[in-house]
Amino acid sequence: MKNQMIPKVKSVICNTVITNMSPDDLPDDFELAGNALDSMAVTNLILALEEYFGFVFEDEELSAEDFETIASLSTLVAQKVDSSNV
Amino acid sequence: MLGFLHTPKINNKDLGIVYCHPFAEEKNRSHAISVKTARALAAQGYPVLRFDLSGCGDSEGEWEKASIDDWIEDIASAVTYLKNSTPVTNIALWGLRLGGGLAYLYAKKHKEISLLILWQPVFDFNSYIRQFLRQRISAILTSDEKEKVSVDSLIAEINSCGRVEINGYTITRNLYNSFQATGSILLNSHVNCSLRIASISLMDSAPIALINLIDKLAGTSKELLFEHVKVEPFWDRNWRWESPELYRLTVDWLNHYSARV
Repeated sequence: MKNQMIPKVKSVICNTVITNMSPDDLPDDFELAGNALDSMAVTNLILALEEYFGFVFEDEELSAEDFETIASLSTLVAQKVDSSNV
Repeated sequence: MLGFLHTPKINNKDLGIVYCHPFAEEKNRSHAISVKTARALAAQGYPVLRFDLSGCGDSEGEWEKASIDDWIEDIASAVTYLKNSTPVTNIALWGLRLGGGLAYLYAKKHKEISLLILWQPVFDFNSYIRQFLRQRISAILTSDEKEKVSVDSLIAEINSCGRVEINGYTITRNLYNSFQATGSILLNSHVNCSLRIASISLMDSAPIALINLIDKLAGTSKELLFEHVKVEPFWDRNWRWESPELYRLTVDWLNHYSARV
């Protein structure tokens, strides 16, 4: 599930907060926090992921480790999608 | 209250526009495009009044004492000023994000408004302020801080301490409560004027939730036109200075409306 989620997460990222790159140009280990995503951008990314995938992040689910890279974020999203489908 | 009136060289349209700006940092980041759009609309013959809400920008009042009700009164003052300063007899409100929500709220109670133009409007003020508080969590995610906060803990802090700081903006208990009390502005009653709504994002279409809201509104408002504009937003980032697609759409909407009044 995680590998399937990475392209979708990249698509959301490129349509919301990193708009000067295409999904194909983003490596899986692209560092999100390290690439100057400010708090407004991260808040918007969280909201965009929620709207796109149809779930809501609980505040306690959000951690710096999950937002470290696209791969780690995709793992979190995959877990949310899995738990939403149960 | 500080405002700027963009007057057309030739006053050939009987419609004046009051612009209602967004909240907090969204106001600053969208400033360039709002000014350029106001100039573009004035060049088309429409007088446009931009103003700073109480406690915002260069207007009087303290941000920490602001409330939604105060801002609705500000819109009333702006509308009065526009009517007294120009020969127009029809007034439109143009609002971006929370400004769009404020414009809608004002028009619900004031039948003098002929037309609403809402760019990516905020319709649920309670959800909006909760998202705003979320920026504290986002700031922690992008820093080395180990603090654990949640929106609920920030609300508890507002209630106990009277305020929280979010990215340099103080959210007081008064301001937070006014957002919460306002809630969803689409409940109970609707506007009686023509409505134009633009959804703005790089996604292929508007979010399903917004589309569903538009469907509900279409059955209640006088005349509703909705369009999804597939462009990069500009109120949440600081590298967007132009939006020709939005200028064109807004001018088209205005000219379409003006041709019939």
